[in-house]
Amino acid sequence: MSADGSSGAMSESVPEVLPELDPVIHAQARLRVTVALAALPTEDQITFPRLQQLLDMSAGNLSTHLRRLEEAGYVQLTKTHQRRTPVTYVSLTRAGRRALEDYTAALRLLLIPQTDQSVPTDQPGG
Amino acid sequence: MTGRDTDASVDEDRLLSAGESLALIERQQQAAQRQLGFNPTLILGLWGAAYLFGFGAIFLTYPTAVPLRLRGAVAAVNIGVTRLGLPDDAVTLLWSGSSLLLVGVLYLAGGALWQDRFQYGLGVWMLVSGACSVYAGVPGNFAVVSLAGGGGLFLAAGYFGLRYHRRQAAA
Repeated sequence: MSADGSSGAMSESVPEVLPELDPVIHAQARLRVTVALAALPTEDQITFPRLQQLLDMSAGNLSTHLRRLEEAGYVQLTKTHQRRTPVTYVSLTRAGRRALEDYTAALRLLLIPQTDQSVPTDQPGG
Repeated sequence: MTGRDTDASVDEDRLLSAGESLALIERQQQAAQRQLGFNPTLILGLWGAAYLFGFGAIFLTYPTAVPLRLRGAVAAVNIGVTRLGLPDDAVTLLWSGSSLLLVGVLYLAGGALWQDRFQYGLGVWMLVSGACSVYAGVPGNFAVVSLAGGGGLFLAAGYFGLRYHRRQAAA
């Protein structure tokens, strides 16, 4: 019970800017897809079936989510052929990797108790 | 919150809390790393066998067999030094010693780059083996490179294999 620790209410008005969570990533399935792809080294690609196996998702479900991620520019789908068999490669784009980093940072910020926010006031005009 | 989030789970569209999301990220990261992990046992084992049998064969058949090994910049340096007129034995020592030296430096760099103490240790071991091979003289140097060099790589293969399986089991 420290004196300064319990005085959250009297601290100078903390701007209530809760970070917004990226709706594209903030959905279980797409979050899992993004995290799995981020586990690959940068620029590396993974085939669709391998990703499907890794995530234990149905093909239809995975492709739906991948399309959504592709629309957001987070994922790159490359369709090619190997001996007449169509192969789809999936990779996380730079924007996708960045989005996941931002999302994780936002989550961490959300989990910090309000009273512990000892943010240095380095913002201009306070 | 207990069951595995499989494809068919009904609550897949339910929005997660921040804590749940972080937990999911961590879980998925571990699962992905476990499945995407690379087991270097085979490649290290093959290198170990190549050292053991290759240099071992040269040692056993010396001086009938003459080692001919080319390895980029090291080869260029060695050929350059040889042209200056080095005794035959010294040339042989230079070839086998510098090969291990190069390999050792590469593992040192790899260990430093990936913050892997064991890989770094393997680099040190290869460097020491290389130095010892020179002091062993000809043809003892081939035995040192074969046994210490190849043996070190075999040991590394075993260690990395063990580590890989332990991680697989843990994650």
